[in-house]
Amino acid sequence: MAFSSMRGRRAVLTWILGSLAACSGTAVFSASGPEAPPDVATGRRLYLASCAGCHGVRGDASGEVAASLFPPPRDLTRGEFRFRSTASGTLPTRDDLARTIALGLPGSAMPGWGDVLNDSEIGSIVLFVETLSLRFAAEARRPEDVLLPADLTPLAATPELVARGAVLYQKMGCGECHGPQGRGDGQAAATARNSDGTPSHVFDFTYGVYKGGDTARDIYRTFVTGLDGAPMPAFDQSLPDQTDRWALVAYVQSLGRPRGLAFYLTERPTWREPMAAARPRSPQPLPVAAPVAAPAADAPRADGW
Amino acid sequence: MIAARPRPYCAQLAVCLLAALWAASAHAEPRFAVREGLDCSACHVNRTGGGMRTAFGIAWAQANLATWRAPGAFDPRLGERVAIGADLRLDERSILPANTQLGGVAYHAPPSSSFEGSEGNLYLRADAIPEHLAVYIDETVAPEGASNREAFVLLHGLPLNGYVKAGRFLLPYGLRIQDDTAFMRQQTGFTFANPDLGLEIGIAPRPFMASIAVSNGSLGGPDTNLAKQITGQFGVLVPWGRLSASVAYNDTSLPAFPFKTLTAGLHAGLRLARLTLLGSVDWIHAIVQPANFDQYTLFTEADFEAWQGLHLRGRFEAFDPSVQIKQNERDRFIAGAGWFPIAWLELRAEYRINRDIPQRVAGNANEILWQIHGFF
Repeated sequence: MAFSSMRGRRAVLTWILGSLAACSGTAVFSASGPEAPPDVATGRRLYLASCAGCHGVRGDASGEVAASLFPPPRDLTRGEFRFRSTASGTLPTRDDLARTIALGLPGSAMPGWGDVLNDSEIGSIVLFVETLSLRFAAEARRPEDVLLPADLTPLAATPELVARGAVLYQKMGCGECHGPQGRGDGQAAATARNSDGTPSHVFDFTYGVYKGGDTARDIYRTFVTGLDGAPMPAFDQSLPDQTDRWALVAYVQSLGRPRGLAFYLTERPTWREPMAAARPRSPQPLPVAAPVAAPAADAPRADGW
Repeated sequence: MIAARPRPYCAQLAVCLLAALWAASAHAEPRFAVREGLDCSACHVNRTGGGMRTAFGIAWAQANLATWRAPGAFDPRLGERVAIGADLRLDERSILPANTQLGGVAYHAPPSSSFEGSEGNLYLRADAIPEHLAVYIDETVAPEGASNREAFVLLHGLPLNGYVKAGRFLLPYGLRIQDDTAFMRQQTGFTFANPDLGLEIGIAPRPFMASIAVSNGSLGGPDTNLAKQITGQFGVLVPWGRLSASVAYNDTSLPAFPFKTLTAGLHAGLRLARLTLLGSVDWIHAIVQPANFDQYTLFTEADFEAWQGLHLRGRFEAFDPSVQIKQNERDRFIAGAGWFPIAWLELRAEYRINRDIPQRVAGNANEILWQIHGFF
């Protein structure tokens, strides 16, 4: 999986925590043992411990605190996921799901588990999540649905590219929802609805906390694949030119406030690591599919009833 | 007001902030709920806050609360339907010497220093029907003998995000901060030490929440008459924080010492980027022989999250024991810091400046508090 860089951080963290424990006499929770291959049973156990409180034991977004959260937790039984590297309307790759679990969704209640769970545990949760929706059993994943090549490299955000993006922003009608200055206050913003009928929160590009990640690659992915279940369409057909796509990415990124003291003082530090926006979220290209075993046909349901 | 005397506030605050390079804060902290735009029920099994954490609260603490994340997911469940939790605090409280003067009489309070176990609680939750019916027990095991703080049956997942709680529980009043010595907690009587037996119902269709409880009004003991205590709370989450109001009426109808109290409060939380502000004004009207009296408390607190897990805090609170008697107010300034280095550990340092009437010299003694808090 694509989160090997976290292992190094975990080793450093373990050393730090060990030192803290030695100093304070406080017990420290140890890391998981050697990574075993992902499996559904482990995924179910971890899901019930860490995910069911929001997503519900059946994955239907009926967890005991679900009603308290905004945005509400994803109904995993629908098999509809926003942050994918695949075409709109298709299933996400396993690595897409693993990425969301590992990095979380800043600006929502979904925390990132990448520093807490190892790759195998995250893979196990992915396998279990796939048992919660019939879509994963009924639909086949096709390689051609993956729209983001592994070797995708962003173009440098030159002033020319940003200017080209500004023109495209107008031409593509982005401002209708996101507003002329990207503040999420376009004419259609007030009436935008998600597929489940709930009001859709149109993103304010100047705020700077992207749920799907704020690297150029993350934003590119959202443009190309859209956000299933939300009004944000996929532009893979209407914006076929690679340079145009990167130009739009560069322009949107240019709308964000510069990172500095003012940003530090005025940004709301919630559901994310401090100054996470200044740190690359997915430094390595993500593989098309994670090499995890297929879920067993008789995988147990989360509710165990 | 008390007789004024010069105090080196700047030096005290500076010492406090420097000392607070390691520090922290705790469970049942409305500032976290305000900061995250959530109800207390998101993180606590008790829908009105405090005590055992929910699965989401555990997950949030692991992933978002602390400076560093402890590797390895922590699962407090024993099997799939039973979970445990705990809070343990050890304080080191230094009371500084105090000297006051009134009418030519000098008063002196000597310094002291003491380790105190300020909290030791174990929690158990059993989900008879997941997401709908649970039994919850909150047992105090320290610092003194074991005693039950809360024990109730919780029927939840009802329409309008509703719930019913029956048993012994903390009454739904005010900002349920961890510090029971805060005037708004201590003087209104709604502390972690004063649960009561009764029934509570509530709804929380976001962004609103409302709850009302009928209880004995006898601090957890059995009742000897028909009179009951009614306690209610209403709140609304707004984009920049939270507003709520509480009211409680208790008629003891005790033959030996009959009294009634009406308590009401307005509470607010404001989120300004890294700064979270809390405020509360509470009014207590006591109907008692030979004369009724009124009290009020004021509470304000600011929390600045300097870095993930590191919180710098300041508080000002005041208490007027009787509006009918002039110049008897007490107030308190607190500056400190709290640090969650990892999810289950909190270190905290505070400097408290207490001001009281001169003749109550102990109430003028400043304090330094160090606290270590383990929890899950």
